[in-house]
Amino acid sequence: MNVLEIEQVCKSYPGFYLDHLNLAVPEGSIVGLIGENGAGKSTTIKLILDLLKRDEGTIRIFGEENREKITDLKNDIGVVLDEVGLPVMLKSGQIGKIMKEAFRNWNEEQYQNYLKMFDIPEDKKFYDMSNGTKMKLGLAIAFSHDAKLLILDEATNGLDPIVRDKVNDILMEFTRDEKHSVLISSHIVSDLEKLCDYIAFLHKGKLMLFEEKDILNEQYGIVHAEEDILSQIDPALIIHRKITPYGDEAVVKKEGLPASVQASPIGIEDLFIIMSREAGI
Amino acid sequence: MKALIRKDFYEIMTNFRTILVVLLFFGAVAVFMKDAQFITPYMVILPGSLSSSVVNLEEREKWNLFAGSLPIRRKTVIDGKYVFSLILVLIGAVLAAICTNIRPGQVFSIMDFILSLLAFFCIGLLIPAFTLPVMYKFGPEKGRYVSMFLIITCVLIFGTGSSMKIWETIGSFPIWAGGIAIVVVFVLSWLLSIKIYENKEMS
Repeated sequence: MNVLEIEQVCKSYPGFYLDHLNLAVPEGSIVGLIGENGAGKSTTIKLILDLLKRDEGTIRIFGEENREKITDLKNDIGVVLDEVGLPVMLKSGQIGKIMKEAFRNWNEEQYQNYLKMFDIPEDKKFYDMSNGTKMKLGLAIAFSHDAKLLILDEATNGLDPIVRDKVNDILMEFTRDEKHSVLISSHIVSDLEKLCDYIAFLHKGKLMLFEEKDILNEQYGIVHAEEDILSQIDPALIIHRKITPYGDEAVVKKEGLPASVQASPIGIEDLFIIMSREAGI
Repeated sequence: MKALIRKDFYEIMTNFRTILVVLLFFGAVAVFMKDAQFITPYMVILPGSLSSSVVNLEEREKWNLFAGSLPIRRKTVIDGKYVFSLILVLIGAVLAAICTNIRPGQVFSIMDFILSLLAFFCIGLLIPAFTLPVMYKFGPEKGRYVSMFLIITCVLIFGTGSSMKIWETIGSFPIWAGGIAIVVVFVLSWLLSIKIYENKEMS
């Protein structure tokens, strides 16, 4: 079952077009949304939350059409956007009191635990917190109301590697419960590579690829070889080819490769960069 | 809605010192001039303009995006802001009515107190009624122009000694008619703001 289903969703602004997007978040999984700046990641997330009005298509969350029941559905969705958006003059305790009245399932004890775990000072106003601490406070809120779906838009980008790792652990722990799912967008592809079960590549408003991470690893590889060996490969299997002083290399689809050609694994980040280049930036 | 009103009060309480300094300044001037009524217009106008200040702050801190992720309807966001305005304007009107009606050597009339309270309350509603829909539609910057224009106009009309003729002109209209007109404008403004906010793209 999918907790989130996006079907044929379009949205246009001057200079941008989200082109018939199809995406799903299966229950119990972590889906990573990768794309360059302006690819449409934040637009997609805002459409899911009905912060933006879509031009076409349907979005279902927990099986419900998102526009009809979005207010109630948000009780079960934890959200952290790239700019956290909390009142700048308030402290974490005051913010907790507001959230207690906003969320049906607010868990104050859990919130206090996360404040301690993330070293969020109680006596500092949001304005005086570092970007990383602001983001941690956003995460503490998202984790403290028994959400079944977490939506994180570049939420870990401002964090130092140690806290990012801690957040990754929390997200892994979160999805151990098979009813919990995560949609996360990030520029830090290496984090998503470790974390995600599924990867979606968005490029200039178009979904280039949406696949299980393990299948991506199985499907794609990199071949380092002389030109005569590369010429044995069906050109349709070659995604990208580069001539280097140390020999030729090609990113290829593994299925259908001649037995004589050995492909090494390729990282998601490299694959994403190459696919983006091939599609034209 | 309670969460939103709590948030708004927290936001203005952080500016409490500034508000207190302004009120103390005008209070001191009123004592110096031996006229407590001098402070009345500020007590009526200032609370009404505070909700606009909060909307302005919210725009800068991207609160609308965060509020959009909470299980709160867009209509409720607007309801919260108008209820917040009503509470502030009521507090201001009560203080202004006390300054106007409770003075040494003056016989206290409950009827005069209630009438002035209602009049101040209605006048105080004018600022949020005109500024909030403009702010939600065109952004806080343009809303601030409307707010400034209204504050200056109100101060000129109600706060200066040369406005006696205006008071006489206003006095020749039935007070209840003016009050009802303002309440109608406030309710229309509320409905308009809901319409604007429900159709707004939160980018």
